[in-house]
Amino acid sequence: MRYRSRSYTVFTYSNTVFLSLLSLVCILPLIHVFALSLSSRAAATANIVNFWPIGFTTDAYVKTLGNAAFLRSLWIGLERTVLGTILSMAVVTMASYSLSKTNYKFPGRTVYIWIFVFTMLFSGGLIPSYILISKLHLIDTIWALVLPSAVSVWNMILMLNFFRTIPQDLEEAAHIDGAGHLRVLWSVYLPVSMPSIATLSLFTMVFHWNSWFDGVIYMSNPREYPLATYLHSMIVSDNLSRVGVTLESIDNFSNRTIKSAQIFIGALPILIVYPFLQKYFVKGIVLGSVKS
Amino acid sequence: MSRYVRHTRLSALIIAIGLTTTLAACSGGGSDKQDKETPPASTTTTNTTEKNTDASATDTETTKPTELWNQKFDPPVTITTAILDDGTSRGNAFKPGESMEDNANTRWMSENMGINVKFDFIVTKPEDYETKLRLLLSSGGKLPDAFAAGGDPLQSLLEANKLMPLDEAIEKYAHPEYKKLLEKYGYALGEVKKDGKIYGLPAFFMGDEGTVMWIRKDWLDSLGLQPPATLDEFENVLDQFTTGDPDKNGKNDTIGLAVPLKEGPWTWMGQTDAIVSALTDQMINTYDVRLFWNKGADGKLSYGAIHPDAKLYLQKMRDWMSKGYMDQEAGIKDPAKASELAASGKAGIMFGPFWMGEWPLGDATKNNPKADFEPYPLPAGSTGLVGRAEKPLTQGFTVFRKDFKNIEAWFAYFNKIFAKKLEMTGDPYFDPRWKDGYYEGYDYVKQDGKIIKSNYEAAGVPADKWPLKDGGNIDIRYMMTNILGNFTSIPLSNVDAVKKFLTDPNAEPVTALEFDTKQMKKRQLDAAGVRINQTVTEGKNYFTGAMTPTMKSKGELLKKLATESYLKIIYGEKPIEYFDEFVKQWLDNGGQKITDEVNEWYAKNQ
Amino acid sequence: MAAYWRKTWPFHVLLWPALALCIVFQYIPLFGVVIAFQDYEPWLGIKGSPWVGFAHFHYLFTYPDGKQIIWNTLIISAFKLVVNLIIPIVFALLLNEVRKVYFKRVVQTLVYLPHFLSWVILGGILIDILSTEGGIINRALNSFGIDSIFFLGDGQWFRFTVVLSDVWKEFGFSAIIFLATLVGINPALYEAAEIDGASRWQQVTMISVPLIMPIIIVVATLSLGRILDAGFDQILNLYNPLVYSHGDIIDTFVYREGLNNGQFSFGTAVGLFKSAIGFILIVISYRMAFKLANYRIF
Repeated sequence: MRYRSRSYTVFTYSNTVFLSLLSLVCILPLIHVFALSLSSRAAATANIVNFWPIGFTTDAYVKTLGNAAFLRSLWIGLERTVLGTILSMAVVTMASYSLSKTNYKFPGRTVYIWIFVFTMLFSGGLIPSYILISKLHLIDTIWALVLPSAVSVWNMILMLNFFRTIPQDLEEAAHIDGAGHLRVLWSVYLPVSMPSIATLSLFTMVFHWNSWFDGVIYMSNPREYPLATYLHSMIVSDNLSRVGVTLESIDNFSNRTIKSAQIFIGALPILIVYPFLQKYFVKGIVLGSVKS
Repeated sequence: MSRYVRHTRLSALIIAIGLTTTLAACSGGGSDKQDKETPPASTTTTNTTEKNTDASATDTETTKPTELWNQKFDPPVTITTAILDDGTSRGNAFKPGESMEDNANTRWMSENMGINVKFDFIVTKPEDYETKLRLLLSSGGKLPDAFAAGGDPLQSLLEANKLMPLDEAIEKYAHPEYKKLLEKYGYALGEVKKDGKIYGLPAFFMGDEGTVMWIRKDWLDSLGLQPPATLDEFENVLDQFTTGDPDKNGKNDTIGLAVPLKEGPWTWMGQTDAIVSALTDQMINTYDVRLFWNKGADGKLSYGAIHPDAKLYLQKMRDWMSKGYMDQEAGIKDPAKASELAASGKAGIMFGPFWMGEWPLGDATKNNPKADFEPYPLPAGSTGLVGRAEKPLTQGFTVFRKDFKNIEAWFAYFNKIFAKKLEMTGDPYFDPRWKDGYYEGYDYVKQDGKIIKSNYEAAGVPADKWPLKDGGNIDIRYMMTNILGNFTSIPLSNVDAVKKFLTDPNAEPVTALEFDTKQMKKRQLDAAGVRINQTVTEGKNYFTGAMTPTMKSKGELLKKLATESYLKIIYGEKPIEYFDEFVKQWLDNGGQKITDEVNEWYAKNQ
Repeated sequence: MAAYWRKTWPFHVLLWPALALCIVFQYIPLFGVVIAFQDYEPWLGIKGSPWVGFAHFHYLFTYPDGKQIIWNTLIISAFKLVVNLIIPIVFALLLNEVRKVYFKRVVQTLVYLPHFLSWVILGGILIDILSTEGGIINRALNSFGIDSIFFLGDGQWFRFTVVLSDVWKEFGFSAIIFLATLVGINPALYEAAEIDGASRWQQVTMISVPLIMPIIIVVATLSLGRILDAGFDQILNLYNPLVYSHGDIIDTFVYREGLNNGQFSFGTAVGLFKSAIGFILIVISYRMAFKLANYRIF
């Protein structure tokens, strides 16, 4: 690179140091949690684990992963995430294309956008949503988990803003070649929008992967829980004030090691996907190169 | 009459056949469809018990009147229920391939009792249970036949007149010993009484969780101290533990008492009810406006947290906090977080139930073999007062849908389980098939004519006969709870068993209860003994009714006010005189009204 | 009209799937907000539950702690909004200066991790590291001769801790959107600026910032819509009686009320109030951006 002023060199070094420290601050608690997940219950109870396991054991992982229900909910979780992301991205991308047009080109877009924005803030709440899903006979189906959240207005707004930055001459050239809107969207907009699509797909994936409450509500049997819901259900409530404690249930109180393990089990798939998506927004496809 | 019987039998048969196919076809599927098909079955139940007085009793086909333990419903009945199954994730509630809906017990019930069980929903957490129940009703779904309910949903169900009054059924079908229990603990039925009728069956607890005092014996020894018998001695131990370097590491890094104050004086572990009891005959809780309502000399109930005697408690705690006897951060910690101090060897005393001997205090020994928390009797105050709070003996209720027709079948199963818990000789409800345990290969294994219920490997049971592959025990409660709604225990029934094993730790267990008791770790057993042997007044909560209207509207505010005021006084942010201002605020903000309502309730239900 | 359709029909058709889903799953359940004006009982249903008008709203505003709770919510949320916007942008700009792709990727991955920790877990960790009895932060303060601070037990510090820990948890995740925008900038622009003799700092202020400005404005506007959400999960896991006066927010209050009463109606009423405020703020900023800069945020 060509900017080589001295102050810039100083900046580069201090920037590197600063960012390294920042990363450290972010990773240390995770290392702690990871060490905890591999420690014995006694060490976790006493909270004496720092960054290295004490009383090393993989019990927490064995207990979580060894459950037959785990694999099933892992599968349901993956299914939900893949289906939900594809569906949502397809719907949102199409809508954003139209909404990214100027009012001059597409009079009426403002009406649409406000219809969508309104739902971003106002919702009917739990009961009517549940009644709707049950009237549509979607209870205990994967659709109850992916359809209600398919239209992400937040993603839609970001996407339309990304689309707006695409140079108009690209589109016009395509139109002159006789391409329709769908074709323009597919072969002009999408290729140059990979960074934004990757970003928004990531958001959608993370959302679906982490959502647990709808699983509780729309599934009438824990067997049908997606992974996030399953992991959530493994944490025994701490509020025992009115509940009698039996010998059998004591083992479940101090499940901090399990809680810790499930963070890693839960986050792993997303962490694996991340680097693949990352290449799009660390080294984005450059508009200029497409142009020429 | 006979024509009627024949007709119902035929239709019941048809339905029964139809039913089994539907069950097989859509087990675990949507609930709407099936609900519409099943109700007729319940109306046509005939059965073979001698107790029955209606049409079926004259039925000539039921030749010999069978024993009470051997009730079988023919045609089979289906009972729908909902359950909180936090065992799913534990891996030791069911064998691989079995589940709440299909396991040894459901199959056994179906074959031997003619009872099919269908779950309208299964959840894994208490808060989910309530939400699901509300949603089910909001969407116009049918209530399960028998299910657990408590608190606000229970009151709504009562108000909406959705539940079945049970007095008649209890009279007719319930196990006589259970009837006695209901009578004895009648005061616990406040929440389910309406117009003089009972609408729910309480789930009883063992009630053995009363507070004991856990102290690091090795610390006492190293400082040459005796276990404190009085509050003054206790204070001295606190002081020595804090300043005397009991762990001899040359550092001033220990404190006396591990205590969670985030939730006030009364909570499920680390509570300070014993301190309260040593100072006053009042019992105090700030975190729940339903607890504790104490009975005064005038026969009226008053809220413990606003009683002038509470100042004695606050003064003490404030003093200890300022001297550093207690964790300076107790105010932001819940019980589990507070116990870390004890488990890590930073604190030498913690109050709590007997089971703490395993978790969390047993873990202290695992981290440091010298650490030895031992249970001791509670200290007495200067006036000789000593005591603890009484743990509630019931939690939640099992209620029944108003139009539920098969309550007899429900009781047939309930009585069986109850008799098993009771293990009374000559009990006609006791099922001899469950003599050794519930199901062989599940909760017990027979090896060389001996019944083995735990430590299968050590007992020489071959691995292929272990209930679980890892050699552990199956937690059979989940399987057996089934349509009962709640786990049931018989209050205080393990006293004799505890005494038996205290006298002779190697005694052979005979009854199921003794088997359970023998599972206790030594420290737990010792603690149970300490509690049983120290007969003290247990602070009782005299208010057992449903939340009053003002409790509902102002309860949260008052709870926040009380907990916050207590903590500010203990932390020295406010002077002790602030207590009077707090009491005034409490009364003005709805507390007075609640007191009136509570006393009105008490006058009616005394 | 016909001309309008002929010209714009593809736009409409592309919008219809989203519109249909939106109407079915968002607008149809909206009828449920009427329970905000009822004393809703599940067994009575919406048709059968008694109407109470604005009683629930009245309850919130006349509640003895009501004003304090709303104020707490506003102040915590406002600080979060500002800091949660600035830090990720600054971080994204700094990271964008890094030339080593490998380093860039590693940093980005690491800072994004805390997003996956739940507040239940973080609550316990924060108590430990902020402890006045040997927590790492206070030990550091002590070594500079500063007295220990009871971060979670002192009202003012509690708010500070809440804002800071939230930023720590989320900045890596929030920065992704800005990073994605930054890499979309045409390098030709920088090259041209460099030829004109612009310093790197000038390039950042003249090119990078203006080009990510639209996204910044969008993110800011949309966060305004959530001005009355101060972070339920976080506060619930961190607050305690010592800091009720500074840390109790609308959502924790509604939660505690709900535990006692299971009041769907009250929760819905409060939700409606929060949404209405958020919506008004969004409308205002949208109109202002259009009036002042002739720019449509969305």
